[in-house]
Amino acid sequence: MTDQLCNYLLAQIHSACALVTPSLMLGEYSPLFAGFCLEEEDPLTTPVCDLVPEFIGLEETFRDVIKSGQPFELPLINKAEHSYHCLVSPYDNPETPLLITFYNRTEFASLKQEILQQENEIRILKARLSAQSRNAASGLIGESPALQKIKRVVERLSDIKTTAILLQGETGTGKSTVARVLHYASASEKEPFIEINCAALPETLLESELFGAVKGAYTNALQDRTGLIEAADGGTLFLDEISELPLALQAKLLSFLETRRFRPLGSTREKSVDIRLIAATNKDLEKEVEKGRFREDLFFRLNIVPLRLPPLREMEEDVLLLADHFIRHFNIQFNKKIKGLAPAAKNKLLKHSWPGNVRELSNCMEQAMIFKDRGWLEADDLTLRRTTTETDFSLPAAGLNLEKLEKKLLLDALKRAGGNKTRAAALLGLSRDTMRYRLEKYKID
Amino acid sequence: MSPIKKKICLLGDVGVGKTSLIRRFVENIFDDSYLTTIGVKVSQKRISLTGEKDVLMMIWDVEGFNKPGMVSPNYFMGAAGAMVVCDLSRQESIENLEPVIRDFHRISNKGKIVLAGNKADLVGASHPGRLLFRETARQLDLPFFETSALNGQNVAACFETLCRKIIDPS
Repeated sequence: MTDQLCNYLLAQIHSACALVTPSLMLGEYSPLFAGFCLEEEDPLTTPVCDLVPEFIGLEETFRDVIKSGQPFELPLINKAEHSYHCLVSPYDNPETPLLITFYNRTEFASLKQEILQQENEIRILKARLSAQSRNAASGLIGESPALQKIKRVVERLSDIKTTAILLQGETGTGKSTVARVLHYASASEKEPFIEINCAALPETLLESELFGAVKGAYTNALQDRTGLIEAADGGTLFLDEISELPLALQAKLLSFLETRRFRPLGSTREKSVDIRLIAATNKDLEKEVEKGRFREDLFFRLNIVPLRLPPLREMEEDVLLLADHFIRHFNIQFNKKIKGLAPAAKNKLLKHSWPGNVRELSNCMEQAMIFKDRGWLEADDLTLRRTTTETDFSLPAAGLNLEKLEKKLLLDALKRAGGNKTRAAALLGLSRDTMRYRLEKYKID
Repeated sequence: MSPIKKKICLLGDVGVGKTSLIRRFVENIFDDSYLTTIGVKVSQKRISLTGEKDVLMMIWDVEGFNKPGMVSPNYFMGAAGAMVVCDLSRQESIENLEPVIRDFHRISNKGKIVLAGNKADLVGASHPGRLLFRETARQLDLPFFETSALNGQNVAACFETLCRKIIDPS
């Protein structure tokens, strides 16, 4: 009766117990205990440490419990949708000196799981972000020679903090990304990275934004305002679209770059900061200098380390690597399970000329993944910007010089193909022989 | 013929992919949703090594080490070996390999160890995490594998190497 009641109570709380002999064989056990045993073993003939998977290897530990009288516990074991606290304790009976209890703690485990889940997710994300900062250079995705060159420059610059760096490249080539990489390659995560787009603010606001202002410097200056240069102290100031900086501010910036000192708007006191300046533009600054729109002295000051970011069409071999990177990225962001690109989709990406560069590729992948949840991305899933093709070309009203145009196209193709005539011919849809004939015709070596 | 039964533990920081490695090895499946492990879960896998008796591995998926001393050392009792796992994209988890091994050896001083640098699919060939992992493994003089539970890279090799080390300590 007592055994029956005991077993009933244990079953009610989905728990189990067993008594074990000195030779570590099962004595008595409650019905649910069988659920803890290996199916292929016979509970009556198999030692308990061969019978219960969680006890394998624990023979010595069990003998210690009998010998020392000290219990042994496994705080939380998960088994078939339930969680148990396992206690192996001495039992006051020479024939069965060990009592094993599996006590159901599923509710406790669920609560603990809920709490730790969030805590651990935050911990993992923080660690990954920190690692990303430290390994910033590896954040540049691609294996093309052009990208390798950028990576080498980034590594070289990581130890030199005070140099001004000028990033030039078409829109969407990743100037802002490279600026961050340059910053994180040398800075700790606590050092600031401050970014401002010079084209986004009017001249009057831009000056106070950059250099700061003291109370009363202008009508609405009700209190002192720290400028971005000061906020970037110890870190990096990234001036995007530097070509749009008004000439008056160019002079002030030049003065700051030469002395590392500046005066906030309305202040009589100079401040000094230690920053690395990275400037970027999608324009040809030398031409801007020629046109008188950009100060030559500032250009020379910024151009100490020029870094040209190539357009994506010059890094053909990186297109698919970048696309895979974006798939991984958006899989995490959108909680999708896209496996990758189908062969036809790969071909479609490789044939496109990417006038919007990496940004265009990122947008294309993002758009495709919004509308697809799993499986492979097919060619039809990818919406590409229509670009001008040879059939769209129409003769300008003023006419053109066909020979000059042909020569330019030949030179462009050679440049893009890195001097490889076969690849250049393929770009123009010519055979290698025709290509050779035309190169000879225009005396292109 | 009944196999030899051996207990091994998978240890390492939280979120390095211990559960995913076990699921890939035992069930050959991968699920990228993250559910933190509380306590332990024991899985079984029978391994046939050429020229040896089959081994029934009791694989203990031990909850991640998020703070030193938080994981009950009782889970390591009776283990013949451990696979100590880190995430190649998280430097901190690589730096924690050594303290985790120390904790394990405190309880199971003869336990064999192999190192798994998991999430290899997330990092490039010259990623600093990969280099640090190799350097750490060489310093600790332990066999190591760069694994991916996502695509299965080196997962079976890592488990089988541990199994072989346990069966044939020489």
